[in-house]
Formats: sequence, C-alpha cells, structure tokens
Amino acid sequence: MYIFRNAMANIRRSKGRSILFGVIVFIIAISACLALSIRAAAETTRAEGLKDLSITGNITLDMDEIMQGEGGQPPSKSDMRKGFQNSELSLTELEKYSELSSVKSFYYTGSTSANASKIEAVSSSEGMGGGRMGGPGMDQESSGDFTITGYSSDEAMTQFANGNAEITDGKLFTEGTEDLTCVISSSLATYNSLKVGDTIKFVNPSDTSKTFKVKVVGIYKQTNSSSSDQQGRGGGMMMGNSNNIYMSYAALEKIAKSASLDVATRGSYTFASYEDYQKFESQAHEAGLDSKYTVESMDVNNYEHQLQPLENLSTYAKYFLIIMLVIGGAVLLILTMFSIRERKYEIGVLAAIGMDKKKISRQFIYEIAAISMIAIMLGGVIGSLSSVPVTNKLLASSVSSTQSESFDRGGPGGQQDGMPGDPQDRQDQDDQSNSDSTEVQATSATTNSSDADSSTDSASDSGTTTADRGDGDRMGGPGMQDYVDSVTSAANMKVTLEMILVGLALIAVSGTAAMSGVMKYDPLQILTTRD
Amino acid sequence: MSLMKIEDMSFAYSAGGRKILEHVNAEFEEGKIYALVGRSGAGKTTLLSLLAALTHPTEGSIYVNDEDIFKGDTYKYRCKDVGIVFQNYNLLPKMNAVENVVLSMDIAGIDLPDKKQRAKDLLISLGIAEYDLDRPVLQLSGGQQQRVAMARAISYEPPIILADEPTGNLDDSTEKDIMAIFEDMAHRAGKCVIIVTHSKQIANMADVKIPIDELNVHIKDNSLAESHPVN
Repeated sequence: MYIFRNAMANIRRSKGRSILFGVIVFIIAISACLALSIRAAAETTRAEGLKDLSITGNITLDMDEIMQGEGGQPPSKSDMRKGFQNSELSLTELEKYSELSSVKSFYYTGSTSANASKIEAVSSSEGMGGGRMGGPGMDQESSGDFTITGYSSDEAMTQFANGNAEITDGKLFTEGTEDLTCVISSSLATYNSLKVGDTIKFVNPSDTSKTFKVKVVGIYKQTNSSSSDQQGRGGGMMMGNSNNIYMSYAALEKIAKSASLDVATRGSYTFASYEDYQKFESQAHEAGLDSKYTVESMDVNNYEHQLQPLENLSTYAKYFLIIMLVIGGAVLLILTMFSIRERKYEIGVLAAIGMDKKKISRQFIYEIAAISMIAIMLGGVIGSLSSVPVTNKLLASSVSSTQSESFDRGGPGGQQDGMPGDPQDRQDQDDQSNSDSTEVQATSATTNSSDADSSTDSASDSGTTTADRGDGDRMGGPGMQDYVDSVTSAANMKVTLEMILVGLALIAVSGTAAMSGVMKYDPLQILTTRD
Repeated sequence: MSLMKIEDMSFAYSAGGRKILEHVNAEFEEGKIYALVGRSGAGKTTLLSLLAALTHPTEGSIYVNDEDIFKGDTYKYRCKDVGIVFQNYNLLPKMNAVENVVLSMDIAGIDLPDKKQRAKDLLISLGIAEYDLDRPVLQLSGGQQQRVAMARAISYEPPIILADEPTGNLDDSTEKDIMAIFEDMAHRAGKCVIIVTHSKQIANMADVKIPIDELNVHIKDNSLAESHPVN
C-alpha cells in the first residue's frame, strides 16, 4: 500500500516530469484513439452499408483464373481463347445455381440485336453510353441497330420498379407473356412517330429474309437521368439507349427461334445478405460451377468503391497508428530511461534503507501506470469526442484527393477502371482481348447490366458509378463521384478495448525500461559516486 | 554475548584485486558505541558498507544473532536490523523530514495507526523544530538533515545503528548534540552503535575505539575491547 501511496506522492512531487510524461502519453493516446476510431468508422460503415445493401450478383468469367495460366506461366493466346469459348452458361445451368440455399431469388434476361425495316434508330448519343455498350453481343452484332431485351419477370426490370423509368403511354407487357409485345423509349417513339398499338417489323441483321413483328404496348421515359447513364454503361437494361426494345423473355425466345437470332442469356441472383452473397460462390463451385467462373456483384463493387476514400483514410490511419506507437513508444522508453537515470540517487537511497528493488520497480511502474491511465483516459475521451468531426474532415480531404486522382487519370472513372482486378476493368479486358467471343461479352455485359439495375437499390450510389465509368470528357468532373463522405459514429467499444491495449502496451514498454533501470543499479555505487 | 560478529572477512573491489580488508574478525555488543577510526582509505567506510550488507565480502561473513546476514534477505536486514546514518545523510530530497522518516517505517513494515505522529515526535525529540518538519529536507541545515537521517535510522527501532562520519560536516556544538543522541541510543535504548569517524573527540566518546589498521589482519578475536579500552 505504501508503495502505491509513495508512487502517487512522487507524481505530485515531480510535477514537471509527470506532466511531460503525461503529455507524451496523451498525444499518443489521442492519436491512437483517432486512428482507431477512423478504422472503426470504416469497418462499421462498411458492415452497416453491406447489411443494408440489396445485393444482386452474377456468375462471370474469372479473368484472373483464365489469365493465370498453368505452372505460373502466362497462358498462350489459344489457351485464353479456349477459356473464353463456350463460356456462357445455359439457362438450365443458371437456374440450377438459383436453387442454392444462399440465393434469395433469381431472374434472367436475354438480349439480341436486330434491324427494323420501317423505322430508324435514334442516332444521337442521347443514350449516354448505351449505344456503344448497348448490350451483350452488341459488338459482335453491330449490324443490328436495335437491342431487344427480354426479361424473365418484372423483378428483373428494376428500373421500372425503382421508379427510374416509367411508362408514359400504354402499359408494360405482361410478365412472362409469349405475345410479341414490347415497350419502346419515348425518344424512339417521337423520332419515328410511333404510338401505342403500332407494330414494328424487325429483320435479322445476318439474314434479311428472317423477319418478325412486335406490337408496341407501351412507351417509357427515363425519370432519372443519372440512373439512365448508369444503365447505359453496362448494357443489360440499357435504359439510356433509346434504341432498346423491351419485352418478356418468353416472347424474345419465341422470336429468336422463328427468326434464328442468337440470344445471350444472363442470370442474376439476389441475396438476402452479404454473407449469403459470399457463400454463394463456394456453394456454386461445390454444385459444379467451373473454376473459371466467379461471382461478382456490382452492388458490392459499387459500394466498396464508394467506401474507397474512407478505406484509404483507414489505411493511412493504420500506418499513422503504427508510426505513432513506434515513435511514441520509443520516446516514452527514452524518457523513462532518462528519468530512471535522473532518479538513480533515489533508487540508491531506497535500496540502501532496505526497499527491495522489486518494490522500487513496482513503485516506478505504479507512477508510470497512473500517469498513463489518466493521459490515456483523457486522450481517449477527447479523441472519441472529436473522432467524428475529425474523421469527417479528413474524409472530406480523402474524397477530394480520390476524386482529383481519378480525374487526373483521365476521367472520373479512371480510378475504378484502373484498379487491378476490378470487375469493370476485367470486362474491358474481356472486350478487347476477345472481341470474337460473343459468349464472354454476353456474360460480362450481363453482369454489368443487371448489376447496374440492382445497384440503384443501394443507398445513393446511382449516378456516381456512371460518372466513374462514363467517358470522362463527357461526364465531366470529379463532382460526379458519389463517395461516402461522412460518418456518424467512429469510436466504439472496440476502440475502447484497443485503447486499453495501447495503454497496457505503453505501460509495459515504460515499465520494462523502468524495471531494467532499477535492477541494474547498485545502491552502494550510486551512493558513493554521488556528487 | 555479541550481537554482531565479523568472522574472518576479507574484501576486494574486484576478484583477484587488492584486498581492502583481510581476515577481519570482530564482535559488537548491544548498548555500546564503537568508533571505527583510521586513516583515509584504510577501509572504514567499506567495512561499514559490509556491516550494512550494501556489498558482499570476498571471504568470510558477518553474523547478527548468529545468522549470516548475506545468506538472508539483505534488504530485510537493512530495513529491520540496522539503521544507517550516511555521511551525506542520503535523505530523499523531494520529501520533507516527516515523509523521510515515515517512508523508512513503511519499508520496515511498522504497523502503527499514526506513523506520521510518531515520526514527528521522534524528529522533535532529536531537536527538529516543529515548523521544520514539513519543509523539504534540502531546505534544512546540515545538522538538521543529520538529525532527520538519525531519526530515519532509528524510527523502526533496529538493534544496530551504523553511522558514517555522522558529524563530519557539522560544527562542534552540533557534533556534541549528535553524539549525545548516539549515547542515548546506546546506553539508554541498548542499541549497538558503530560509528566510522575521523574525529578523535568522537572516538574518545565511544565505548570502544577500533583502529581499522589493527583490525585488519593484526587484530584478533575478542581482543578489541581489551586492547582499546576507552580512556
């Protein structure tokens, strides 16, 4: 007891030394608390965001797997070609994986390309990207002016469900109908003076003798320009493309059969949770999915992209924390060593009058622990209180830096596009490296299309990714990015526990230095060599 | 019967180095003041350090109540069996007089309800004015500091008091006062007081005067008191 009492008295007696030590620990504590809070904020934001995220995923080609080759050697062109060939999964296969326990629901779309005999395609870039990336197979079937997309269910038409597009005239075709009915864009209707009830005659671009007629039952209009952009980027639903025609999948299948059109089918799986989404891939592989396929979700990718500034900040915070702890720990170590050196006379006297060196060490450790605990508590409280505004302030800088960085890379989408392993990036590679492979294009484009559809479900990511992905010179500046730019909570129980660990580590470092200092001194030598 | 016994003890600062003390034998009894005298460098303070178990002998040993002090806990020995009054007082400078004394009692494990009052009483009885009790010891005069050091040394009532040049820095009047306290400790309280000193006056006041040169090798068992009776 007297050791503790004496330690407390010593803190009071040596105010300057105690304050100096306390200030250093306080600086370390407040820095550590902020860094840990930033990391906690990133983790919490990510976890909560993913929890609330409506996730749609697709089975896509795993470009990394294909590009990996065998025995660590890069694959040959023919190997890659082989990998891409017959890569499109059949509807039966896609449906098989929809039976897995992790899947909440499943829908699919089909796309094909056709020309029309009496109407003209809208040739302007109104579609904001939809023209080029109109849909699966479009590059291969570039002779078709129109993309006809068939939907398995109303659920697949998320743009309508989300209110990003609406029927302005007529009605939507009946779900699952085999009737050759469709909806067209208001632009196409206006451009060709089409109205509900009119019939459009389409022609197989590869064989003009094969024709089919489709009745217009409705005209749709975009209600959200940014989402329109977004849809255009991936193909799929292609709401941004005025030349897109929508109908039921059953009707499209019927047309494809009668007019000998190739239809690229792609499936979309929805998941109840992020965990289910993560589970799906392993389940699918266990169920027989080839290892060259992977599962991706644009919802998740988009959300992670939104988190990028926060993740960057979290990474910086981690390094800052490590540096701070190392430097702070070293400073404390040196300070303790100097302090022990300065107090060696005291150590000598205490040992000479019979105080065991272990007890002397304990007294010094109590002093260090008491000052450290007060400083850590103060640092922790102040750090916690300021964690949210500081995190948001730093996050704002990180967002700004990320935006300008991506802008410098050639457009708002530069960063995302440039990221290795990014699914969108993979698709670009896919497009370029395998332009003759319809299946691959189809599969990949499907991913984007349906992802893009579903991504509008997730928080506020609409438009952001469009800006990211779209042509930089067209979509403009960094302002189009939609990153997570604020957090509502930072410090939490985990941070508190981590702060306790930081405190214990600091006490351990300083305490060890104090103990080794005390142990090495010989009281007689100290007393006889005293000036 | 002797309280403390030195048996054939030798000491060198380094292994194989010159021996400062060689085959020393001596005995010390309760209720007496012993004065270790001798020229500078003869090993007086070294002997006192050995008696205080602040350093270990190269050969031989020291026994207190027939127990080898170096085989036991030397810290416990220092805080219970001996009270040391250092030449430079060696008080803790950031503490006041009372705190220095109380700390000593704490280390010795004295269990009293009011150690602070006991320390004050002791200090006052040794001549420290009441208003000096709470002053940092460095603000006290040399004589006062010596009194505080003595109070610290006797606060836990050890049977042996070791003092290294206790009056070396003090004037004659204070020297007499200090010696009176030592006499009181030895003759009234029955302590064994061993003083290292240069002062002939102090040596003459001691019950037994031990020239260190003679003790070292030449002086034999049980011959001290007889060979060097006071006066």
